[in-house]
Amino acid sequence: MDRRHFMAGVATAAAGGGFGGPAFAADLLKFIYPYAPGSGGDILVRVLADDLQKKLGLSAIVENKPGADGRIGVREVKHATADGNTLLFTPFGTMVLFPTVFKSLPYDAFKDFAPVTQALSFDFGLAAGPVSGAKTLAELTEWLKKNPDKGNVGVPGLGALPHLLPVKYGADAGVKIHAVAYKGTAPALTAAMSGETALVCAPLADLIAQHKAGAIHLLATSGKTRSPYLPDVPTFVDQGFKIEGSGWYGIFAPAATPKDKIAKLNKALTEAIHSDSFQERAKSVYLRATGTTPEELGAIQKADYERWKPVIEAAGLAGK
Amino acid sequence: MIWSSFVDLAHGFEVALQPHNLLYCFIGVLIGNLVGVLPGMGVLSAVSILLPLTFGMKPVAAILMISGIFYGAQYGGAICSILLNLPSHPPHAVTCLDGYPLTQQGKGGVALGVTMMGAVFGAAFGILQMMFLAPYIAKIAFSFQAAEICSLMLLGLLAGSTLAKGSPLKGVAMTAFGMLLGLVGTDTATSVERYTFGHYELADGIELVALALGLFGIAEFLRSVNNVAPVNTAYTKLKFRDMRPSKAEAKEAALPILRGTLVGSLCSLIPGTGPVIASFIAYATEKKVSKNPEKFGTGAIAGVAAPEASTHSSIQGDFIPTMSLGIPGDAAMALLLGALIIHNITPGPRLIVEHPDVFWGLVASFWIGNLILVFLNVPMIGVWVRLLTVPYRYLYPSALFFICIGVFATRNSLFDVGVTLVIGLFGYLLLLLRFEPAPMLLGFVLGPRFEENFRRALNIAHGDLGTFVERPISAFFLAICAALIGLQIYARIKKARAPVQLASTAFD
Repeated sequence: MDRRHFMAGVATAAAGGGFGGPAFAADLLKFIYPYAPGSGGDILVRVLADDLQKKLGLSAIVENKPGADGRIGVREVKHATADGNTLLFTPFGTMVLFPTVFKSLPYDAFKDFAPVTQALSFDFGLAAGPVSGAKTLAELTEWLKKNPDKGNVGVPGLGALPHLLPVKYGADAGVKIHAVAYKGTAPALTAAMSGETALVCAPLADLIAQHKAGAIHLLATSGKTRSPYLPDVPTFVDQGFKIEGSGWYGIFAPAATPKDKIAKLNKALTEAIHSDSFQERAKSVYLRATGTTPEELGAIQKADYERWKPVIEAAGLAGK
Repeated sequence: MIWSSFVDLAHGFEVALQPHNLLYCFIGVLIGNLVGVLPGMGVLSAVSILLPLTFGMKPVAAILMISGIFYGAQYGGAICSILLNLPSHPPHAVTCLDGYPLTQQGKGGVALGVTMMGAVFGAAFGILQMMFLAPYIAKIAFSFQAAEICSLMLLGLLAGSTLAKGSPLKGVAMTAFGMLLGLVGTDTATSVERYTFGHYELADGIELVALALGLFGIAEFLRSVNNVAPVNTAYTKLKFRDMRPSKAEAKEAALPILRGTLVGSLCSLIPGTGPVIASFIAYATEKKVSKNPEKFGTGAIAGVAAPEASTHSSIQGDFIPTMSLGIPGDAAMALLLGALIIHNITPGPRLIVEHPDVFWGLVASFWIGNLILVFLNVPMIGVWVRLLTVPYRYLYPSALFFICIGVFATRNSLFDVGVTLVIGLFGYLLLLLRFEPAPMLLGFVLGPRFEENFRRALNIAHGDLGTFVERPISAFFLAICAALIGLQIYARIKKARAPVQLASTAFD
């Protein structure tokens, strides 16, 4: 066998081994994650890319494009070639909250992107530090009525759900809640543990270890139902508040990506997301691996946008 | 208590010396060292890329490797700062100030030797602290809240505003200018974007690496175009002896190393105050307490020793809140925590009890890793110094290229490369007008932290300025600030009086 035949054989083998035939295997799938390495969903998107590579024979890489709270990375995908090889892996904020929070965005969350699949979802938690000693929302409400100037809640950034949830609680319970912004979850959590603030609101996953160790006490989770990781902690709804909302990570493609390509991507991605190993990885970081159809993700995006718009506006956080 | 730590440590060594773990510790520090030496690859991105590789590994080996990358990178980071004036890793930016002048005097090898001394001492102190004091120290962190951090930053700014050689007025002006540059970006307290001029790329502020590389690397490049001194060949035929700091030099470095180490360990305890701030505060402190502060900026050994020791002690100290509280001090530590979680080890206050093999294995691997790094780096010093014998026409264009790659890699942003070039031109102008970049960097690093915590403290206290003096630690820092200013004024008055007295005695 001469060299040319040999190379052709290798190429065919490589193409045949890939998922979905030669046309797909030749491509390099690139996930843009619009935040810095190591933050939030970065680890999970890397696990996903790794799984696609190992199990489905796809070449997949992750590129961090941080900046401007994710807006730079999202804009990058908007302008990417719509061949289905560049995908956006983003938390819901950029696609759901930003259109209300920011007066102008470098993209249109609905018109510039085609949903592919929702990868993961998660809840938020409101927790009390040692200052109030509250164990339930009712106890907290009572304490805040006695100490109206102590309702400081540390939040890992303004205008996001951990900011909106406690503000809505304060409005509904008739107590004063005062948001104090930190740069990320870790300093906000430290502040509640040290007594600098009375409360902290953040993604549930970041609070569980400290709750279990007794350094903070989770008062309520934000999901429709209780978190499977913390069946003892009631939701806001359980405690009589009409506050409910989950966060999620979604995968989007540029709007002009062909429909059949999206369907193909959805099939490959949901297969990876539904696999046992990915489910396990998601569990270990207290997330839920979901893996929806494109239509479902589109519906979730629209519903969440409509749900939070009035809350953001009522809190005076719209159109900055 | 102390005895039990030794028993635990012995167990830790058993874990860390298992061939499998030892190998990964070695791989980690080796990768880290390379990442540190080469511009163009940050520690964070190196770890993220390698993270999926660790999924198949045992948790202990994975953690040893990832940690090795973090502290290993610090060993290489100073090399480009000292030899080429290229601070591609932020904690070593301040090392340029005296490290590069030393190189110009043909003492680059000595500077690297001193760096190594500082590194070993700082790291050893950091590890000892982690061994014996981790649970207590983590609690101290809680007493540093917004008001305390704000007052500490004020102290750092005051001590550092006289950082420059030459005119103090220019020094203060540059500190203020650095603080102004630090305002660029999104304000944490209100989410309002300031001075971004509609560029989303500026919404997170100017990247420190871009500023440092522009002010030092590019400005230096522009200055030396067509103006290059003949390469100092005195050190091209280096013997091992020549790289070793002389006895006098080692003695000169000893106390600064000790002080730098203490500053670094203090900074590592304060949430969100990592090695970058530690190295700047160490440099400022050192200059403040030095008997001949005028030597700083012209190649003072102390100006290399203190910040380097501080960086290393702070890097090791950073692991303490991460491992004993489960709260990461910075992005790098957050990534380490993520790696732990993915291996089903829950970081948190119970980690040391529930996973002693991870905690003590890690501590033991720090000793081993640092030792490996010394053996890797000390023989290499001669090789690095020989870099300088590469003719200027090759060396500097490649340095310029590495600057661009280094800046680009920090945020994957071409915009930042442009920012660096503009800052470089500006830095050249400052050089010509004899304004020092050092206080500007200090203002840039400490200013935003001061502002953020000042406003947060007021936010929490509902606008009551009294909070800064009512809290004892904060009041203590403010008292030192007042004393510093008082001393300055006193010295001025005394100086102004002295000649008058002399004059009057002359007339008598």
